[in-house]
Amino acid sequence: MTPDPAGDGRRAHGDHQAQDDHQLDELVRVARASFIARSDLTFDFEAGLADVYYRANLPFATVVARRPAGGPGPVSGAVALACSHLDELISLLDTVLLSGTHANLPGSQIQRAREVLARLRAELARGSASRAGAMAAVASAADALDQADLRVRLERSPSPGNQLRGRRGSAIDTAELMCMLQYHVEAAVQHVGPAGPAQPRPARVRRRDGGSPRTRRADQA
Amino acid sequence: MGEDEFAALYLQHRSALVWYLRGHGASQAEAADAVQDAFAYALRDADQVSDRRAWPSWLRTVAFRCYLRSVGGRGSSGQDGSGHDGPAPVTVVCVPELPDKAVAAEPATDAELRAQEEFVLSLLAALPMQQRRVFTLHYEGWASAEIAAQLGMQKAAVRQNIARARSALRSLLMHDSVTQGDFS
Repeated sequence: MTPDPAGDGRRAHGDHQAQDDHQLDELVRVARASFIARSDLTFDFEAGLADVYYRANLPFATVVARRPAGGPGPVSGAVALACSHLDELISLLDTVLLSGTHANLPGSQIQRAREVLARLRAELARGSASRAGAMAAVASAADALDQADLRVRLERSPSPGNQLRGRRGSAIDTAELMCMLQYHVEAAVQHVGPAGPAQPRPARVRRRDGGSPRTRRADQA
Repeated sequence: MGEDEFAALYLQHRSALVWYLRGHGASQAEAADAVQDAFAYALRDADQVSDRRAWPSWLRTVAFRCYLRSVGGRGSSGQDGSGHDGPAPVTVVCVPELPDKAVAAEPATDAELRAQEEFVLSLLAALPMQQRRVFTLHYEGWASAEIAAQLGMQKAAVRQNIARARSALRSLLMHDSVTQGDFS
């Protein structure tokens, strides 16, 4: 076998560049996540919503908006991201399960993946998920989806991955979604504290009659 | 869109939108102001967007135009490539929810995280406009096809802009690590 120093150099350069890209990705994502998490925790959403209604010249709304609660910093943000991603996946699986156009879909595997993911989401939300348990749940769901995918491919019908791609309208497949999920869940369980992380909760807006006194401008800091 | 739904939309996207505009060089106050305006437009024009999955794209486009207008009216002169003034029309791109890839990798003090955020924002702000727009959306988890549809570009141009932005940021990081020590 002939040594190829030039080829080795190119490979080394490519590896180095890939490593740089990975570090860059991490840097940007961590910065963005911490910014969003802190903003969610410190911003006065009630005042912000009141300001939006004022700017829209719409009737007064007394806003009862609850910001994401939980510990400071990126901790709750990571859990919220994982839960958000789980919600998306569960919703996508629901769509596949409910679609009546693919009768030979291996629903049991998809149903199993859905149940595992739903249980994981509940545990993350409660703060009761262990790291090992969470990662095992992700692996179990991924395995179930892989089995479903394989079985459908063998039967030459549209695979769950293809169905999800159709649902999303983009080129994301189940493997990529599960890979992203693993990434999010790993980050979430890494920081789970004894008090348990909290979730972004739905906001309620209670309308009442009357004028619209501008309370204060939100987030002018 | 009901009030509860709008409030949920506000809770979910407000902070990410502020980051998006900060990445374009807006100050915290400018970004917050433009985002408030964008949500006000959303509240008034809620009936124009029937598919709730279109809101993330709609809000980003409108918030960006609001920001450009607030800093000198350039939004109406076509700097955003639209040539339109105001919030409509907007190219709508549907995704279920934004797949937010952001994640906290290492525990750090609040001061360190803040410094890191400002550092990243300064890096993004140093990019040319088009690369910045593409790259910021890329890090929010949008696929190339979705970015292309949102910005009215070809997919190949999106990928090219991402590659160029990466290259530019690598150079900036290398320069920074030489002048200030390794950031990470």
